[in-house]
Amino acid sequence: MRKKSFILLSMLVLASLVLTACGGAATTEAPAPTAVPPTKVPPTEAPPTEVPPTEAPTVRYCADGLEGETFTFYSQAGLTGPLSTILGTAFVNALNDSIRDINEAGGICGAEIVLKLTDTQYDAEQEIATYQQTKGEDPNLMSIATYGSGATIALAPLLREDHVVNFAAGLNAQAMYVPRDGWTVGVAPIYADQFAGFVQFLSESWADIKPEGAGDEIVVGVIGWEGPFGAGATTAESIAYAESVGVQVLDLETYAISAEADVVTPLQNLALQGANVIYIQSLGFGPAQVIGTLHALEMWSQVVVGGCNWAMNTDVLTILGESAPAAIGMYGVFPYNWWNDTDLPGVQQALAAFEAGGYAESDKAVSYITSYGGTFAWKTILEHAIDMVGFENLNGDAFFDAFKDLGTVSALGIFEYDVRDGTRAPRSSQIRQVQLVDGALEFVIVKDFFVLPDTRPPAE
Amino acid sequence: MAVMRPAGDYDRSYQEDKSYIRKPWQWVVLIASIGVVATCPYWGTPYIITTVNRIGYTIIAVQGLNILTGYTGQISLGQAAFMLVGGYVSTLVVTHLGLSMFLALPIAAVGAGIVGLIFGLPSLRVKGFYLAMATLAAQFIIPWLTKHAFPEFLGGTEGRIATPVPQIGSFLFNEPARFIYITLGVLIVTTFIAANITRTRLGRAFIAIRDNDLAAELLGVNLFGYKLRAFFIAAMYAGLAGALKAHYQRAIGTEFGYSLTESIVLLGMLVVGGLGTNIGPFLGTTFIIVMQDVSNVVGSSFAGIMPPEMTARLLTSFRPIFFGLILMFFLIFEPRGLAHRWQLFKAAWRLRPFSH
Repeated sequence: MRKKSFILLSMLVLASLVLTACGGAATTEAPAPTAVPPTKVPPTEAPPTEVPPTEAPTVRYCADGLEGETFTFYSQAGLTGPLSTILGTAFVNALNDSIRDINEAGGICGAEIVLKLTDTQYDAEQEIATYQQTKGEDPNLMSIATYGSGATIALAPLLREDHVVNFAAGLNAQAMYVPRDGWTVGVAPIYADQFAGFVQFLSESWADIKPEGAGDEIVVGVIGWEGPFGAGATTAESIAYAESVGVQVLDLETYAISAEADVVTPLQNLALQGANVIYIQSLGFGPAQVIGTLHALEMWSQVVVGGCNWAMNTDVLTILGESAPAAIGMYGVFPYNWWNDTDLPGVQQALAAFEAGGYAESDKAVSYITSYGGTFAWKTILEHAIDMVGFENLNGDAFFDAFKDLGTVSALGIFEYDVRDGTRAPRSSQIRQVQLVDGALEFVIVKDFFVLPDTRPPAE
Repeated sequence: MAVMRPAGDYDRSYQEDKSYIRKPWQWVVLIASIGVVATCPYWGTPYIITTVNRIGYTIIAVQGLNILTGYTGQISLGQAAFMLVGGYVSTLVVTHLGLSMFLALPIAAVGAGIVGLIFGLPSLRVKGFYLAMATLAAQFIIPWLTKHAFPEFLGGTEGRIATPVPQIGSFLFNEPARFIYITLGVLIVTTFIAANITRTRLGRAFIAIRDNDLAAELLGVNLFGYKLRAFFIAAMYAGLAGALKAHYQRAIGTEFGYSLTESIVLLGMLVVGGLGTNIGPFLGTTFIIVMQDVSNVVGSSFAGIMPPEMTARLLTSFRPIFFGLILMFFLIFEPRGLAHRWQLFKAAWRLRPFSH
């Protein structure tokens, strides 16, 4: 009996390993070493701030060479868990590919980069535990990268205390700006800025984009996930901005973070209140649910549909599947360049790495392109920190000082970090629209990079 | 479970019969165990220190559930919500009344206990599956209230408020290595209370209700009163655990968990550890938390030795599958929990070499 049980157990464990290992990833040769090409920074208009003139580094510590040393890129993310499909395998591949490419091109001043990637299952408790373990193992920890508003919020006070920079994909305004001088830096504009930027676009373009039969009055209904991410767009500051340009914003309608959540009721509530614009503050299956339901309710043609940056992503179209054309016409705040911007060297480089990996087309998503570029931005900051203080004196303070000294840091021209004058997230974005181009769905620029309204929360 | 002892090994006094720790070596093991945990900030890795903290406050919540479910037979799916209440009460008391966390802890326990009483009221009319559904209400109502009522105090849609760092004088418990002493101290107290509750009139009434509530009532046990007491105590434990977790994580709110899933996991920890045993919460909580981490490590290690094209796929799928399989096999091969296995092991040791 015991032997049978053991055999059964072994077979099932083996089956699970085979199931997880033998997915659809294609096998290809590793890409050839690529030199880092000159990057083209997104054509952003500089925010109206004075950038103090910085002295050029006088000592190039990198010239000494750090062969034999290693730098660890710490990343903690929900690789598994309820929202894991959003990052997906593309995210892991991007980190591996970018670090391999940097190492093959000489590393950081000769030092090799190693990746430490920890699964936190989008669970705040695990985010904190993982961070504390990382900090305990590396007392000289300089930076981490996190993904999700929960992680951004949970870690903000700890990072401030420990002087560790968090490159955060959860763009929570409170975590970044309350109090000021926080250590959390966004990869894209805070959600309130994004929403205000979309409102600005609406007010400027309403005559051209308004649905047939709609009046001149713009009434925006925001539908978002329960929690701070879903509520991130409609802050007091962004609503005040909307009112200042004559746009009415209805009370936020929320829905559960679940693929089975009911979005009919919130959408009908918004429609009954006269919404002629629906703004989606969710991601992955969230926007897909709203898009599908708007069509089912025959509301799609009666409203303008827009969303935050994560709402306009390949995964939304993948989830919609054969119904992906239903998304045609949707607008999105788009604070980075995209796969179809092939004139940009950084995008070309990411594309080359992606194609060399032979990954599925559905992985050509925001998680790959921003993670790939983000690693290069981290390298730029670290090299500058070495230039400023030397390898021996590197720590979180030196890293952040170097970051602030640079002010803006381009991620291969795909996006740009901005920490000038207390800023903690970029303040410019494009507006793109889902369009059918040559038989394929593309995110097409309808308004190029512009400075978003400033809706940062008060310091306290 | 009756303790199996070899012939000639018997108690010589009522005191000895009552004692929880019977042998000198048991004292040695107990003191050594506490010593190992207390000194782990000096020898343990960061992983061990943070994990001990997590296990510590989670055990307290599971101990409460054990009193309610393991001893009294009342199912609750609201334990995480009561933790949320405790965390908020402690945070608000420290933040707005300026009290020390050490004073706030009992207040949080009582606050959560009172809320637990309210959700325990249906236990008079319903039982089993229906009671589980009734307590489920706590898991919906309490988080909803924290997001929509008094946003200036509870954080509103932001889903959190900051929790102050505990301190004694100028000594801050701002690191896991320091906080571990608070966790350990509270855990010792709750364990002492939980272990003794089961041997009092109250505990015997709980067990009588669990085993046969009709018979218990005929014997004069006030079912409603005792069930409510069980809910109150369970929620108190949850409140304490929630307060500790909040101060450890520096924040409290729905963004930090406290969901239905967490309540189910707490129940799962109790089942895995062993219902109605004092050691069950320790074993079950430790097993589940460590297994979650082990599945992460195994997945990462396995991904590391696989071809690069499989790495991403393994990292994004291995953990839940492996963890799920381990739990499934555990329930197939050890349905009575780890505590039962521990009892069998101890019995075999006592009766050696004639354990069969």
